[in-house]
Amino acid sequence: MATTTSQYVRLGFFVIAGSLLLLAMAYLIGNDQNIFRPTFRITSVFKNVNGLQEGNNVRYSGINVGTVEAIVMENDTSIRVTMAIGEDMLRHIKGNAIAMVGSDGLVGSMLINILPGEGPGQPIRDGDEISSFSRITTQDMLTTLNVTNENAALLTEDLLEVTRALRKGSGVLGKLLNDSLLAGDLKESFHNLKISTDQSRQAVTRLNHMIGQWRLEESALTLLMDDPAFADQLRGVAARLDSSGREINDLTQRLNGLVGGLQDGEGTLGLLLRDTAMAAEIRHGLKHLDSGLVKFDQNMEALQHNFLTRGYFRKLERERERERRAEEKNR
Amino acid sequence: MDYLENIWVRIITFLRETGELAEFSGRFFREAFRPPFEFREFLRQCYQMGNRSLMLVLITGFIIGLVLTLQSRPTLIEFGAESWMPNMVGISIVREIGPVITALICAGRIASGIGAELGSMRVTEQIDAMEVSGTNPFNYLVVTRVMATTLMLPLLVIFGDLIALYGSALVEYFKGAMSFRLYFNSVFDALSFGDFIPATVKSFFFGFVIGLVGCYKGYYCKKGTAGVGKAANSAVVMASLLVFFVDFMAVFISDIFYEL
Repeated sequence: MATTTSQYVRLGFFVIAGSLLLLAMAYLIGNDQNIFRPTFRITSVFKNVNGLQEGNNVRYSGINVGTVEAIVMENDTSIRVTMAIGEDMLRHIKGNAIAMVGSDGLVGSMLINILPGEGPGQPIRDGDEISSFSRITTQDMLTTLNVTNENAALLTEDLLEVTRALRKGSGVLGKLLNDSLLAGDLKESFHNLKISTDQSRQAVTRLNHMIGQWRLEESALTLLMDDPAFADQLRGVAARLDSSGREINDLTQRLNGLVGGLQDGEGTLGLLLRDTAMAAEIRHGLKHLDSGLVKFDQNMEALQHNFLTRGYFRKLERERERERRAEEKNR
Repeated sequence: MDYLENIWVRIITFLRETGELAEFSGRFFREAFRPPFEFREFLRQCYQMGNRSLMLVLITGFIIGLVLTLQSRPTLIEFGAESWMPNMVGISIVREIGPVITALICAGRIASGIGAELGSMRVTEQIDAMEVSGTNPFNYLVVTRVMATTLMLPLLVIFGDLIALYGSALVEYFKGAMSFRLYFNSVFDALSFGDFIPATVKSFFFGFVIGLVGCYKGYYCKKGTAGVGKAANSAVVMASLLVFFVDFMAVFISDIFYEL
């Protein structure tokens, strides 16, 4: 059975395709492990690597950037881990970066997370060592959990005692829970409290409404509260009022003394106010003075018509007439 | 007494066959580097074993990928580890399932075919005729076939692996809404040379074992038509068993080298 040309072609295609797929697969696997690209090496010293293995991923800010190349025990407390990082990451990782052993999810394989350090730092170089941070281990977590469990057990025990006491009705809370009368009173109190609260709310609403109707912007209170100059003036007025008040007080005291003296009949005015006989005499004297003045008016009228004094009075009238005319002319 | 004698006969037969197979493989290595090189026959066998088996391997691989993913999904979902499906399926297929399933298919198809073909030639005394005419039948019939299976099986495994991964990715795409890019990124992120190189190397051994057993059974076929059938049948059984044995050895050795 001879092989035809088409069979050779198909065989050639099969072999080439298969070989290319084989190479592509090898390339994809190798590329993921930084085998086909230039790398640089950095190291970090850990106290515990938590099962980290050679070939585990190295991540920088969550991106796969390399693999763990070597894990060497330096002494009884420090393990040096060498990482092969893609050279394109050289400019991104700084010297103050921190390496931390982590895991890829809850059940994932271990890996190293490199976290950027705080603040600016020098770019890292091939062979540099970066600081490490050892996370809390599962054993530490279990120890803490053990303490927490013990505390929880104590708390539960206490809670059980409290619950028993409550169920027995001892203590204030127990009575509160078990006494039906107290419960009724409390219920009534709460009901009353509710009514009071409602009324208070209504009162506050009315007060708010009232305050809302006030024209506070134009009121003296606002001026008093907002204008410091006015406050100063008011303070001055108050000071002066205080001083005036004191003076008025003194004056009132003196007046009280004077009035007291008058009431006692001391002095001329007191005598005038208190002595009735003297008042009658003065009234009689005034009557005589009045009749004397009437007679004097009659004598003066007679004097104006006397030929000896009549010239003088005419002269006075003429002068008055001249003055009146001069005034009219001036207008 | 007959029972014990029967067991004894079987043990003796097994040891004899093991010895004969070892001698046969030794003869293969001796003849493989001795001219004349039957290159045309080698290419014809490559075509028969590579191209003719490709469709079967592709279909089987695709179904294996689909079924493995569908069967694993509920368990992984139960553990909340659905996103680990590409990693799990990728490693399973590349490291173990792909090479073994492909080898078993080839054991069924190729080993039986070789066994039947060479058995028929032995029964019809064509091999004797070739010896008489001065042609080296071992070189022409055995070396070409064994070399063809040795070289073709790794290529078939690669095709089988990729089609199985594609089948798995299809399930994840339609049932898990995972993109093909994410799926294959996860697969190649999970794979390492510790998975890929031992699987590829053992594929060569699988191919060698399948070709060698098929040729051995056919070359030493007993006379008669029953002998041909028996040769084909025992070639499949023995090749399949040896595939698992080689697989065990390969895992054992790779465990030493790669610390899996």
